[in-house]
Amino acid sequence: MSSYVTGIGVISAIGKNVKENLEALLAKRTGISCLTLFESTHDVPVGELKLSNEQLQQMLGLPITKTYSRTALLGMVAVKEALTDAGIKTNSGLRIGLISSTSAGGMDLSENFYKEMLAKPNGGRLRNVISHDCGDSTEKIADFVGIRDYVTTISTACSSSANAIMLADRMLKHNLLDVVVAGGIDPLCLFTINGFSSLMILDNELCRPFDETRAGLNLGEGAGFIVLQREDTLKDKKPYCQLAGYANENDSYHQTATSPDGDGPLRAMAGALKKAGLKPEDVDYVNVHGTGTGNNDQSEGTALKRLFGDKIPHFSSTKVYTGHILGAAGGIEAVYSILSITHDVVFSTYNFKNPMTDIMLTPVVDTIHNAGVNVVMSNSFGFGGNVSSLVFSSLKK
Amino acid sequence: MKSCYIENISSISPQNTFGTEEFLDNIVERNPEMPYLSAIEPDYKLYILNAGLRRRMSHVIKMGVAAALECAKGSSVENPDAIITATGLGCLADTEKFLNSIVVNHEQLLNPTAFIQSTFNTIGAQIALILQNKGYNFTYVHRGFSFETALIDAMMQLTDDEATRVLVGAIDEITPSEYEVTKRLGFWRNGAVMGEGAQFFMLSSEKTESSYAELIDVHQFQLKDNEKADDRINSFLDKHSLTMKDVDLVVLGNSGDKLLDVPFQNFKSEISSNTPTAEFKHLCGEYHTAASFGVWCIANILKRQKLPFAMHPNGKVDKLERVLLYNSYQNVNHSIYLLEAI
Amino acid sequence: MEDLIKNLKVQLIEELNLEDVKPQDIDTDAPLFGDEGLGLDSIDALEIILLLEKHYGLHIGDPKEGKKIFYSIQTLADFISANKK
Repeated sequence: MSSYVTGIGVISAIGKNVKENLEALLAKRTGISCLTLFESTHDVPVGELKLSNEQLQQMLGLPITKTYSRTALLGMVAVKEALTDAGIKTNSGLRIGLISSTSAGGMDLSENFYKEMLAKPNGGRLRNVISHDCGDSTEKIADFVGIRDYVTTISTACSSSANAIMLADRMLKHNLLDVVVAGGIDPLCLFTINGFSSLMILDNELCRPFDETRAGLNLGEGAGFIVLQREDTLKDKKPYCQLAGYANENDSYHQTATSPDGDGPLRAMAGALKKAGLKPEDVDYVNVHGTGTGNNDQSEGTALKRLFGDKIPHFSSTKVYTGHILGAAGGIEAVYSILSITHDVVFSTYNFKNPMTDIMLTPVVDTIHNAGVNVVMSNSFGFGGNVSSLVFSSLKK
Repeated sequence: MKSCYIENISSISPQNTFGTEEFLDNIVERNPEMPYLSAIEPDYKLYILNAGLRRRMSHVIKMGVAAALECAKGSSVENPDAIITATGLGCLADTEKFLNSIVVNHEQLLNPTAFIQSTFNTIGAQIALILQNKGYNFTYVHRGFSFETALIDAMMQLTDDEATRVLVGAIDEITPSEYEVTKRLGFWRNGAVMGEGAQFFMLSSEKTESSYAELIDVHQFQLKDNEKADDRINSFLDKHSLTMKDVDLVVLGNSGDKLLDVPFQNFKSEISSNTPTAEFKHLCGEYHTAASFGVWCIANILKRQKLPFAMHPNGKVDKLERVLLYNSYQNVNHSIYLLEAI
Repeated sequence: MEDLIKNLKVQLIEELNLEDVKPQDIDTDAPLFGDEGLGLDSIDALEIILLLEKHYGLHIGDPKEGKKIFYSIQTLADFISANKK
């Protein structure tokens, strides 16, 4: 018994809702551009949403005088869209939960607070630090949409929101909740830009996933959430698809690097298929983690070859459009995976040119329509060896 | 949910709780020169043998990893099927260290180690690396619900036979600037004292001779308009076909803050007036995951059949078979735990 | 050269926080990375890049370039003396 996807919501550099994101993906229009949100000495391209916090607050009907972390604002947009899409009212008597995730929490505000506090003791406005912890955005979003039954937050680096979706399914199965909105959020901030810069894995140009010339990732920002329900609460709502399977594993190789033989990624993908009761040949499209770093793509590519042999399904990294949105990547790419099924389309890694000499795999470079997509796998791999795969399947399968 | 047994426990806290057989026999008072309760730390070299990993570990990571390894070592199976950690603020000192370097070095020549180690799931990841554990590995980071969701997750894993042993732990650290900020926010103005610590639990679907207690259920809630905590606790008991009369001891997670502790006063005067109570946050201090220290106390109480004087027992205790823990963080995140003796 | 090697060892211990390691414990010709020798990893490589920049004003843009240079204390010292301005 698996849960059904009845609503989706997304905001990223390529659009403030599902419709805009889909249009950009189909048109192969990247959202990677120059950083304008704040000052940084790093001149790196980012997947930035060209809306200020004030504009987001206006969009959401929130008072401009109040301070919200960008994390909370991005999350509110996506969660609200997902709930509206599912036709779920939070006063309907159903037990509704919000399972969110983030890697940066309210760092976009607290890094400014910290700077002022360093300058002088008692410096910094407290309103900029009270949102620091990861739970803050979740509670603010829950308040905003009226979710009162259950909230929690996961943070497992770049696999965070895939893991939030897994927990949602398990809580539904155990009848602890009736409806769960699950996904993740991450804002651009100095902290993560400098973090990835110090790791020397930020590309100064558009990222090139699975390409021999790849030189690192582009950071992005956004939020992606999906609404999951058990069959008994669907009533006459027609779901988009099923969350057929998933797995979280630990690569247990290194704090930041994934194993060169792709052992953890392989176990996550195989585990997700096993849980779904599907075989590798059932997979029509893999939305790969594909960050564009030397290590990830080599490891993930090796794992793909080990799992699928010479029958590699269509695969692509949509991070060339959005950038890597860390804790939100799994949620946003879950939305894209669902769109792939419902619109029967495979998205592209449009700038791909040169296969990696040691792996020789070629992602989809042009949007494929009528691709016969029934089963989609979405990969999210994070620091600490935290590797996750989700499998969505059409209602036909 | 299936039965879930606490097979082993460990704690590094402001009390003598690590590497000792005693159970809150000799209370460590707060150092009068310090405004908070700092954890008493062991010589980590004895517990974290991997020097290569240890050299990069901050205080909170060492606390968490040492407590976890000790808990795992004393269990019937050292390597669990899943590792679940809970933390309110994660590796805060590393976060501050990296922020500091961004400001001081003007974003140039930054050392990546503090950034890497600042990630919230670092502790869970380092435990997995040391144990070479390849299983499920989650980290919950939601204020006073972090530890609660971690336990619920573990109970689901055991019930679904996805795991027979799950290592669950909660870790939070104090940093001086966190103290200054929370002080400015008024957290310590009304009687509560800041604390820190790491508590780990090996949960098992099998009962063994040395099991500490059975974890029956965990429930977390936020109060809706006009709702009282008492109602939620009563309906929790009702779900288990119990009333307060069936509970032998109530352990209260009041922080000592006279404003935020209002639900506890109501609770004591209204529904648990005939049930003995005890407290724990004066021993471990208040932090996001302090409830884990309460659960650690209850596991000991049920196994040793002893309620330490240090926990401020109130009321006549007839037997110690079923214990309820009611916790609240900032009067926003409320939780209830039910545990029974084996 | 000998002074450079001695300084490098001290700096390495300091920057990488190598507990219980003394300069005389580090074999000048032994590999720094991998299971032999000091057993350093990719994070240490990034820290060594910083060390070179901070103490010697030498810039390495791509961590991959570091592989041969960082083989041992001796190769590091050779690189520094060849490139130091």
